[in-house]
Amino acid sequence: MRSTFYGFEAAKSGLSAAQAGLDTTGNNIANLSTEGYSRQVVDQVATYLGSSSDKIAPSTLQSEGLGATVRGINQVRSQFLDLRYRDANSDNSANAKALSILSDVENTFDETQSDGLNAMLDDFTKQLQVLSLNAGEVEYSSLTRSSAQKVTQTLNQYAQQLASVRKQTTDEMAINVKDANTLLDKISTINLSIKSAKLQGDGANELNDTRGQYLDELSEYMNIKVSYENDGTVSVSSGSTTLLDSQANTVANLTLDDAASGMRLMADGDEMALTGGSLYGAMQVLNGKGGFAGAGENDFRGIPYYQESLDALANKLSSTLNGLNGAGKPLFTGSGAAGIAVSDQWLANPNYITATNDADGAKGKNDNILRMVSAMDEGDFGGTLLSVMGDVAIDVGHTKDIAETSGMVFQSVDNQRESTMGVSLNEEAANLIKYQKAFAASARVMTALDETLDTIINRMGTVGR
Amino acid sequence: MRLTDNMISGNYLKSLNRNMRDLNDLNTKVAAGRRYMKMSEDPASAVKAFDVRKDLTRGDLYASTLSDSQALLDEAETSLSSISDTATNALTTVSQGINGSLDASDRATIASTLRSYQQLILGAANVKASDRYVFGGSGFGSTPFTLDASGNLNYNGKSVDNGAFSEEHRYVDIGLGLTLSGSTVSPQTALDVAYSGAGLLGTGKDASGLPNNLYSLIGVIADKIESGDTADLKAYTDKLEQSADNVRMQYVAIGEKSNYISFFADRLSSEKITSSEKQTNLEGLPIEQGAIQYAEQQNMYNACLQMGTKLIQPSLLDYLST
Repeated sequence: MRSTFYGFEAAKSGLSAAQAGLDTTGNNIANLSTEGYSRQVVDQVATYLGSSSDKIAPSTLQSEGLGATVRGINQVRSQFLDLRYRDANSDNSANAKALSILSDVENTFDETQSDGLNAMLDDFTKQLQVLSLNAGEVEYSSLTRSSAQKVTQTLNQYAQQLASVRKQTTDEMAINVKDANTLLDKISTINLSIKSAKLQGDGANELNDTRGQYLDELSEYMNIKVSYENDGTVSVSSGSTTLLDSQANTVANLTLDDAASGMRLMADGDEMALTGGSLYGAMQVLNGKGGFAGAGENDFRGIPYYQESLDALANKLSSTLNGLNGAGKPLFTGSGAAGIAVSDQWLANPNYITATNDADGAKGKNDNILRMVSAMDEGDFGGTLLSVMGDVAIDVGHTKDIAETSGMVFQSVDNQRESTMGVSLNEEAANLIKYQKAFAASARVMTALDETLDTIINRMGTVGR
Repeated sequence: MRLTDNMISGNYLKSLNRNMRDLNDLNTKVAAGRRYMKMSEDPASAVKAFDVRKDLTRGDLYASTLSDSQALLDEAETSLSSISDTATNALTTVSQGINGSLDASDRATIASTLRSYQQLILGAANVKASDRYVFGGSGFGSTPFTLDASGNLNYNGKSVDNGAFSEEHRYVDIGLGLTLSGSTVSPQTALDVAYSGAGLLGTGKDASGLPNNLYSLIGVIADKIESGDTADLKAYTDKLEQSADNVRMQYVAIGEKSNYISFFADRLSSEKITSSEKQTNLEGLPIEQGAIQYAEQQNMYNACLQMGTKLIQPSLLDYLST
C-alpha cells in the first residue's frame, strides 16, 4: 500500500536535481573563459527502488519509482583526446623550437641584405688581383692585408654568434628543465590531493583540470606518456624513463649535462632519449653534426655542423695561403673559425706576403700573387660557403613547413578537445531553461500532491454538511 | 561537432595573426623592392643571386684591370712615338754627318746632337706611369735602363750589347680562367702586360758586329762622326734605319693588344648588363606585382577585421524572456 507522503519525496528529489543542474550550469557559465576548465554535467539517474537486499522489501505492486538521484557532478573530458593533444603539443613544440634556433643560425649566415663572409672572401680575392697589378707596392699589400683581416674577423664573428646562439639556447633549456621539475613536483602533490578527495567520494573535478593543465605544460617540454591509476592518480613517463611513479611515490630529478659529446637531459643521472618537446628540438640543433656525424652521432644539421663547416673553411684558407706564401712564412695563425687571425709578421710588414718566387724578388713580379688568386678560385671558398648557406636556408625553409604542418595538426587536435570539453553558451542557456522548467514542474507536482492531501483531509467525508 | 565560443575566438585570432603577418611580410618586401628578405624564403634563387653578385663584382674588377692595362699601353705608345721620332731625327742628323766636307767642330756638333738624342731615347724608355716603369719587363720597381761607369747602356743590370735576355712576362687575370702549371701561368688564360725594354731598343750585335740596340748604335755613330771615321758610315746608317723601323713595327703589336683589350672590355660590359638583368629577375620584386599583392592582402586583412566585429554572435541567452 502506498504511504501517504510517498510522492512528496519524488517531487523533492526533482527539485534538488534541478537545483543541482542550475548550479552546475551557473558554474559552467562562470568558467566560460577559464583556461583548462572542462565543462561539468550533472550525473542524474532515476532512483532505484527496491532490492532483495533491503531489510524491508517494498511491495512489488508499487513501481512508481522514487524520483531522481544526483550521483555526482562529472566533467566531460576524453583521456584519448588528452593523449593526442599532448603528443601533438610535444611534436609542435619540438619543431617550433628547432625553427626558432635555426632562424638565429640563418641570421648569422644570411647576407641577403648585408655583406657577410661571402662578400669578404670575394673582396679578398679582388684585393689579391689588384695587388697582382701592383705587386710589391706597400700600399696595395696593406689593402690586401686589411681585406684578409676582414675575412678573419668575420669568421671570428660568425663563430662567436654561433657560440652565443648555443649559449642562449642552453640558458633557456636550463630554465625549461627547472620548470619541468617544478611541474613534476606539482603533479605529484596534486596526485595526493586527488587521491584523498576520491577516497572521500569527491569527484575532484577542479583538481583534475589543474593537473591536466600541468601535464599539458609538461608535454610542451618533452614527449610524455601518462598512465591513469585506479586511485585517481597519474604516473608520468617519457620514452623508457619513468618521471613520476604515483604508486611508489617517486619523482625523478631532471638535469642538463653539457657533455663534450653534446647536450644531454638526465633523469636521476640517466640519459633520457627524447623524441619530442621543445627540449628535444633544442637538443637536435645543439647536437646535430650533419655530415660530420660519426656512427651513432646525431646527423641533424645543427650548430656543431655549421661550426665545423666554418672551422674547415678557416683551416683550409689558412693552410692554402700559408703554403703558398712559403715555408715558415705564415700569413694566418690560429685554428678554426674562432681562432684564425692575420699573423703578427704580416701585421708588422704588409709586404710579408710573397709576391714572386723569383730569386731577385723584383718589385712588380706577381707570379706568386697569381698563384694565390688561382688557389682562391680553385679552393672555391665562396662556393663552399654558399653551399653551407644553402644548407641553413633549406633547413629553415623545411623546418618552417614542418612546423606549420605540426602547428595545424596541433590546432586541429586542440579544436577537437575543446569541442568536447569546452563550454558552449548556447548549450548552457538551453540547460538553464531545461533545469528551470524542471524545477518549476517539480514544484508544481508538490502543489498538486498538496492539493490531493487537502482534498482527503478537509473535504473527504463531509457529505451533507 | 560542438562549437564553443572559445574555439571561435581562438581560431579567429589565429587567422587574424596570420593575415597580419602576411601583410607585414608583403609590406617589407614592397618597401625593399625585394622578392625575398631571407635566404630561407627562396634558397635556390638566393644561392644563384649570390653567384650573380660575384659575377658582377668580378666583372667590375676585370674591367678596371683592363683599363689599367690600357693606360699602361697608351703610355707605352706615347714613349714609342717619341723614340721613333727621335730615331728619325737621328737619321737626318747622321746623313748630314756623312757629308765629308765637314770640319771637326761641325762634326763635334753633330755628335753632341746625336748624344742628346740618346738621352731623349733613354728618358722615353725609362718612362713611369703611376709609379711603374712601363718598359720594366716583368718587374716595374727599378729603373730599367741605366748607364755603367764607362757610359754603356745596361737593361735591368745587364749590358744590352753583351748580356743574354730572355722573354719577360707579367700576367694579370682578366677572367679567362687563370691557370698555372707550377708557378708558370698558361699564357692563354691571362693577359700579358709586360713590355720588355730589351725588345723595345734591341740587344746584342749583328753578324757584322754592329749593335742591335738603338741607343748603343747612335752612340757608336756619334763616336765615329766625331773622330772623322766616316768612310764605312753607310753600313751604320742602314743599321740605324733598320732599328728605327724596328721601333715603328712595335706600334703594330701595341695596336693588336689594344684591340684585344677593348674587345674584352666590350664583352665585360655586355656581360654586366646580362648579370644585372639576372640579378633583378632573381632578387627584385616588380613594383606592380608587389603593389597588387599588397592591395589584395590589405583587402583580406580588412575583411578579417570587419568579420571580427561580428564574431561574438548573440546566443540563446539573448532571447531568454526571464
